[in-house]
Amino acid sequence: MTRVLAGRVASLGFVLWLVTIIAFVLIRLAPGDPSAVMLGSDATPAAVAEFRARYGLDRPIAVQYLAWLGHVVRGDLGNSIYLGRPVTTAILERLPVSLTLTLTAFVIAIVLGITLGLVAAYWHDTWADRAVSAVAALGLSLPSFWLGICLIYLLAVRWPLLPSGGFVEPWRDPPAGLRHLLLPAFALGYLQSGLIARMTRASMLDALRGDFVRTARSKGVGEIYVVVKHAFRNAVIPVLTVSGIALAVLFGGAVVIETVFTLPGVGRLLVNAVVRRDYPVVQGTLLLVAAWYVVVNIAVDLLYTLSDPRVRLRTS
Amino acid sequence: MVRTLITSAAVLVSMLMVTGASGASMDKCPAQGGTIRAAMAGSPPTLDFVTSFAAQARDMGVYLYEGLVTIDANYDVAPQLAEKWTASADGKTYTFNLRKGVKFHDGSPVTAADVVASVERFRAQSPRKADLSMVSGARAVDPNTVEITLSQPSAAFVPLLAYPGPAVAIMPKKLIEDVPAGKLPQTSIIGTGPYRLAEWVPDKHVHLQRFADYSPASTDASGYAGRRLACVEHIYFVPVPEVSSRVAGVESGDYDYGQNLPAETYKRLSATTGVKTFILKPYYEIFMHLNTQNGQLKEWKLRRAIQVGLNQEEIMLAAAGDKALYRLDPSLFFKEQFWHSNIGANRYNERDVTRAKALVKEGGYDGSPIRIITSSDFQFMYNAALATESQLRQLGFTTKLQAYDYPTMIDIFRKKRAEWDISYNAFSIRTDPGGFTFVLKSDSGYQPYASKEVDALLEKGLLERDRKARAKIYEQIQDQLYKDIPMIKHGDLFGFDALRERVDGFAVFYTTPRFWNVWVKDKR
Amino acid sequence: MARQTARRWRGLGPAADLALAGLVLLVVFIVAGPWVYPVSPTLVSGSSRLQPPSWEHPLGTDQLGREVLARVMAGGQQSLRVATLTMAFTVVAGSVLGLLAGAVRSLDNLLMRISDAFLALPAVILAIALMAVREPSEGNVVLALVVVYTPRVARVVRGKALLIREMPYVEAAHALGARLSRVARRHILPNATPELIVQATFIFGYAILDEATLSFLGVGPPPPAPSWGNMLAEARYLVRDAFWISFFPGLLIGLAVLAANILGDGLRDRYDPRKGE
Repeated sequence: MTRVLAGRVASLGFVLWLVTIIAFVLIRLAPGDPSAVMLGSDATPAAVAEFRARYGLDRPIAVQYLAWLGHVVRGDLGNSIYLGRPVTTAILERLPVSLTLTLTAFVIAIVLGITLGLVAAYWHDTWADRAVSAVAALGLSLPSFWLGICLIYLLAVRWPLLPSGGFVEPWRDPPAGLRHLLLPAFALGYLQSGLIARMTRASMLDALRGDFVRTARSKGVGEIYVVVKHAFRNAVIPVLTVSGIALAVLFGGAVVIETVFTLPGVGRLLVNAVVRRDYPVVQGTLLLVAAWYVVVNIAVDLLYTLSDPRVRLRTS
Repeated sequence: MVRTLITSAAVLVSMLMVTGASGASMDKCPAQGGTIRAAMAGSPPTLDFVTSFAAQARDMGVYLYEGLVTIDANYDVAPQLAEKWTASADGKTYTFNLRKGVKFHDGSPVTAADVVASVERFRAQSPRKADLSMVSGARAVDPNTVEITLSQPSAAFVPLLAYPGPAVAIMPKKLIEDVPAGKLPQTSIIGTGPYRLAEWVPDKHVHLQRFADYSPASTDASGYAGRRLACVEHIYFVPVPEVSSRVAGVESGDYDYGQNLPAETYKRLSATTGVKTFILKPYYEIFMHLNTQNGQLKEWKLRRAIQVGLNQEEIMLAAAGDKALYRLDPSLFFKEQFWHSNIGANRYNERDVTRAKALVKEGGYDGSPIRIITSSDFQFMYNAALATESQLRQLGFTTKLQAYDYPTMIDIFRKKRAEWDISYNAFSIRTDPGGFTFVLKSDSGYQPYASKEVDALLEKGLLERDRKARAKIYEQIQDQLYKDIPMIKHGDLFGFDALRERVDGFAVFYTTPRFWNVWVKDKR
Repeated sequence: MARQTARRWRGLGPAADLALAGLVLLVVFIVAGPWVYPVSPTLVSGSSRLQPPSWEHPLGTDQLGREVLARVMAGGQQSLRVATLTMAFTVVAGSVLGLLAGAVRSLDNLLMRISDAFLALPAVILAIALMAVREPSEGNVVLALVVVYTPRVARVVRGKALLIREMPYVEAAHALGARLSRVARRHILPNATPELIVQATFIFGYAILDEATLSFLGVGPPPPAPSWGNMLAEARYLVRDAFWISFFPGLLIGLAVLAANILGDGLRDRYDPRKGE
């Protein structure tokens, strides 16, 4: 098992490394001299000279990349032009917000998705099934910012039940924090729940038609027991996979939601950086997002190997 | 159908709330403590606001810092850190006596050496340094007395010293020595104001906290001067660039204050229980800068085409959002000011489209897009740019519009002259006409325009002592501007802010909210 | 050929048929609309601000007096252009890369790893980052989206290519000396085409959504060119007082993407009933 896992980690590590190349190359695509691009036009000649020395801008590109990479692995992502502070600091300040939002949205997506998927699977080919399909399809098609704006209008302005934006740390003030999270996390999670619902339905149907279930049913085992113990356990793997993808993708959706609900997260940091041409921040955020993706994938793989006895047996 | 939202009666009433009304002047706070959360239009790029153009930086500077002098409710000079000052007989030496016992936020006492260092830093690094070009030196006579010498006598000196945008803030000498512009670390944001900086997370909030050892002045509060008491314990300035979020936030109570709100929401917010609305008049005058040095608008005929062809009524209506929130006016100065003049009015809002089109041809316009930059932080600037852009296309120009947040736009405006042809701007009231020096003088590098005549006039204006004669000089400058067309004025804009009723004692002034001498009615 | 297809049209199921019809109607509305209703989408008129939908202005006017119907149509044209170009270029680039990966063993691993790296970044984030280094314009939005979507299409084509490659008749052809390109053309591509069509349909929908997202965030084509995304962004503060400005563009985005998704599902069910469920 460890060997398979190690192989996976290595593969993901390779992916991460490729992402660093993408991030490095991306910035070199910006018009202008890299030091002007990275330091801003405000920079003093001394700052420019120091920058050039640090990243060896007069040396071959491969050497430049290695120099930059060396800084990156030590956690030094350079300085934000606009904020005048280290990119790492700026990102770390905003990470808790984005993570809280993403994880809450993920919980909502899972709960909503699995519930809807189970409903659709159990009562398949009835109106309930079709309704769930419709809800899921809507989730994939509606623009998240439109949904967010409509939610704000309905639940924060017309009937002021929830706050219209802003972030309160849930660990510092749980009730207020949760109230502020509800709308953005729902707007974000709803969109992913569609995918999860679909996959749950599909794999549940597969499982319900499978041998285990027929055997259990013929033995006279109770229906609920059948559904939960046998079908669901087998259905969970593909759902896990889709969930993993969802969690990784949620980070992308968070960008828009953070803007709509004025949450000071990494997504908003990125958008502001792009508009202000604050390249070091853009680069740093890309790397962070890729790292997140890798972490999530490793976690999913771990759960995968732990939960499926077939996989465990095969690999030991 | 959305009609005129504000009746004349309301306008009259709000005029009472205008700049003249003093914030409640008090001897002590009716209630102490609590928090105010203010939703601001943008994010300050730095809190080293002496060296920054950005209005957002100035909004907070007023809480943290004080100067030798400042402005009162009538925009006249009032004492702040200096309790009195005298001029020598020849008008070239000013002696300021500092108030005693004033402390910086870090506990150190304010001395003349700090004042001298601050003035010198302003003269070296502030974008407004040209305003103090008449100053030749500053020195500490004794720990409580500062002497500033001028190269020539100037009636504008003290008013320009008092002007708050940005102010000549007094900071500790040891913290500002040898620090380049805009590079003051957060730990060095130390002043003498009623609030100190507790925390600044860029793009997230500026958290100010009451300064316990603040020494309030002895005179009644008026404008930025007088007895400023910090009754509220914590103030959070939260940048909320999305206008809808600001409005929604004030409506729902997430924020206690919403800055610069759109006219369309005025009626609704005024009717909302728990919310008070304020009209700020005067607020800003909206201008566009034309690039006289790079690009197509180097050609005067094309600039004249724009000047002749624009319909400023339409543009101001689009910018302000309501007829009652703007007025057309050709002058550099506001109607309320002594310096106001109608010279050049014949070239303001001419709306002669035929003439304009002809001039476009005569000017040899080659068809390449006129690049306009504007700010997305300020809705009025954004809308004005869109309205202008639409009209320019009617005149035969092709256009390209780009919106940025305000600090980025300023950056491009000042440093990337090859990238724009038209740039937007808004000027707040100049308490002294000399306040336009840094805007118009060629050696200040503020805008591409350079005119020997205007330079000479500006210098004269700083030194002339007779008020009427000064007014004449600035009138000539205005005339020259209408002839050279480096800038075109759209009109005067009034602002509209909203406040939750839990905050009491508030009154508007100038362009920034004053949360001193206010208190909160509940314990949040 | 078209007549043959029409005769053989068994329908894709009621939902997908409806979706297709809806999309066609939408396209006609957007493309032909300005001919029927030649009002300028960018003419600012202070005096006609914020008119609710009426006979004179079917969808009302916005905060600058601009006609919403005209803007919706113009914005739709931009969305259609971006979506169509993105779809076309992505299919081409994805096919080429997928075929290369599937057919040429030595390139497979490298190409797939590279595409994995791109897939590690959510579409929106990568697209936004790409816009950081390009000037905001329609062309660059297309470029960014193509870069983002190509790896996904390449994977699909590669999958098909690998499948086909194993088939005995292909191996036979190869043994007989057929060149790779001929194999690709005659065997792999025709087999991959149905799946490509499905992918193209989904990409069309995602492109509309992503273009709107980029415009909404302010990194798309700059004003005053209307885009469904920036119409929503500009009128956010008027959701309560003038809902028609943000409602219609948002609605159209949702409908267009929904139609594309349903159509794609229908196509997928038709061509690969095993996958459908």
